[in-house]
Amino acid sequence: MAIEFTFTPQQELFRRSVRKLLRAEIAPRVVVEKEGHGVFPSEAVRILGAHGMLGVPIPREYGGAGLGEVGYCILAEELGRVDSSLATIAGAHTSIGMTPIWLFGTEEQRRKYLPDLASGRKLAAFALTEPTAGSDAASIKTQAVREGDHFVVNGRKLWCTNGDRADVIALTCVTDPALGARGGVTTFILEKDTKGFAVGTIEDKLGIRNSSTAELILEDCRIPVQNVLGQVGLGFVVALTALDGGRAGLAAGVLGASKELLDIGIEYAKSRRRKGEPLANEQSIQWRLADLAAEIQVAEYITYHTAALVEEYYHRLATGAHVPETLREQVSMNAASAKVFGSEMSGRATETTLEILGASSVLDRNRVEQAWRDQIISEIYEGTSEVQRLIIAREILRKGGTQ
Amino acid sequence: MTGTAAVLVRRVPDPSRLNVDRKTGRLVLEGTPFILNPVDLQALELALRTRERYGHRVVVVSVDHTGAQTELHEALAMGADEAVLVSDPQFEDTDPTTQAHLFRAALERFVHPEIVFAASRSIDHTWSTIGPQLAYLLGWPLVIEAEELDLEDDGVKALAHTGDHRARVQAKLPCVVSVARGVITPRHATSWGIADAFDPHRLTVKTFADLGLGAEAAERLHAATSVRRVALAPTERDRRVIDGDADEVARVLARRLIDKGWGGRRP
Repeated sequence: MAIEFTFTPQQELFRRSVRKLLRAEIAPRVVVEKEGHGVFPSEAVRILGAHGMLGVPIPREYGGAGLGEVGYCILAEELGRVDSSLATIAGAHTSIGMTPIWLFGTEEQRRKYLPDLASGRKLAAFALTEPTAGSDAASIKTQAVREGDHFVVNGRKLWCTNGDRADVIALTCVTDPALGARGGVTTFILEKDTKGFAVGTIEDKLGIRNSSTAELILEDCRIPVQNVLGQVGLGFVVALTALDGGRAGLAAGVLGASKELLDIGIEYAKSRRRKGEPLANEQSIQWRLADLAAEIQVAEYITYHTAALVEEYYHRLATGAHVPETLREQVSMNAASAKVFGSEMSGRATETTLEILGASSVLDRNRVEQAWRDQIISEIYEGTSEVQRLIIAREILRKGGTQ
Repeated sequence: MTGTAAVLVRRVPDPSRLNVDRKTGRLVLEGTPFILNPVDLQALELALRTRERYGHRVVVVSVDHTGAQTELHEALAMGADEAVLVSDPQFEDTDPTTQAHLFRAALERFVHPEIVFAASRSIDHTWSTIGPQLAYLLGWPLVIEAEELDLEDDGVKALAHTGDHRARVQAKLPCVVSVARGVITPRHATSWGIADAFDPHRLTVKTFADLGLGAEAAERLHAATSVRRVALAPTERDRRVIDGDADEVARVLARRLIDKGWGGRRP
């Protein structure tokens, strides 16, 4: 258990370089689009990929940067400062789309898929949720039935980030309804050109509008046996493990967004005058900013503490080292805490900034207005706040609150 | 050319994070983050672009009294092959003149370059003469304010931007190339570059003693020049009204600008 965080010189350099790249190349390309389905930021994604930003935690030998989960969270935080849509696209690709292939894939699958994904030449996605299975992920219905060297898949997936853009999708299916979540669920590596796979509705959302959220339709979709990720029956473990890391990344994204909001609030409070005095001189404003700053500090600690735990956990999983049960539990509980605290804090950050900026904040296409629309989703996707509380409650009721 | 290109680099305070002491009006450098001089990044970029075409090795070299390695890791992350840091607390009071002697020794001992890239400016005012002084000490030709560079069998051809005109210049190798400010956009470091930049074999750290300059040289490690006063150069604004139709106005304006030496050729 780390007591104080010190980023290594390499992590510091990484953060500075990411910031520089985002400021120069990405921020000017961010478009606030409120009509239609938003605009997928293809050029920004291409630039991120070309600079190695779509393979940060994947080891060097598979074409990534090998900068670990902490490195990935640094990227997610900086992306969150600039554009939540991009943070969502990169997150779905990196932590839940690509990482499972690294953690659970066979050596052959890793060599086949990771170099293209980690370099951004291809994009990944993760498909779990269905029309009748959201927070209760164990009740998914999409079924894969083995026929010779193929599995024939039928079903529908919802809310798949990058679903219409991805070349490779980590697809969770039921292979044995009798076993259910305990051995009856399997993850497949679905390639986009597979026959029987089609993209359905692209959702029109309140926020993160430039990331695409798609419905996936699988009708007699034949996936070769060698595309079973890891092994048959491991699917639920694959999904939960990927989501643990994904939550750390999401916590980092909303941390970045909240820091940006705090900066906007401070800037406005110092420059806006009322009766000749800057707003920042008023105690009511100071207290709101101070509360937010304190919460951001807390979120920063829990986020990077979780990231360090996930890094250790993933490293052990990927190299086949022993994974102590306590580490697994610690990761789940910390990731849930970081996600629920971070996303709800970003809600308070949005509220604080909206109130300080007053009318200026609700103007069309304003950054705060956009943050408000984007933020709400962070409390819902990759496990709602309620699901995070369930995970935390399960741990503390079993083992006590003070471990 | 398949040998080595050296790029001189220097750390400077980050101008976006500077603090000013309200009483004295002077900069407070304590606690200020440092960055690579932006024009050094442009010099590095020119060296890297040249490497892509001719395949030499690019070595960044720094002389510094703090021992800080961050900026050299950044240069390695951008794509430099190796870095040499000569660091010694004795260098604190040096200026470009003394540093040019130190660079010469470091280059001759550890790098053996055929070409040296240096920035023509720095944002802290103390670096613009490093290229010319080093060329003088090495006895090598100097290309000033280079914007583009081609290497040939035994020399370089460069597009150089001097004052009010651009010129194509040639120089024999080995030579020093002082790189123009603000023309070349440096590349961004990639995550892969950052991952590989911390390979300990790529950074060599040396001290003054390693330069083999002797005790006598140590006596001379003081600034040869000092800044007495810093002031903005006076400028005057010339206002004139040009009458006539658009074509006539444009013609007169162009002629006056050319007469002033502010660009273009007389039509």
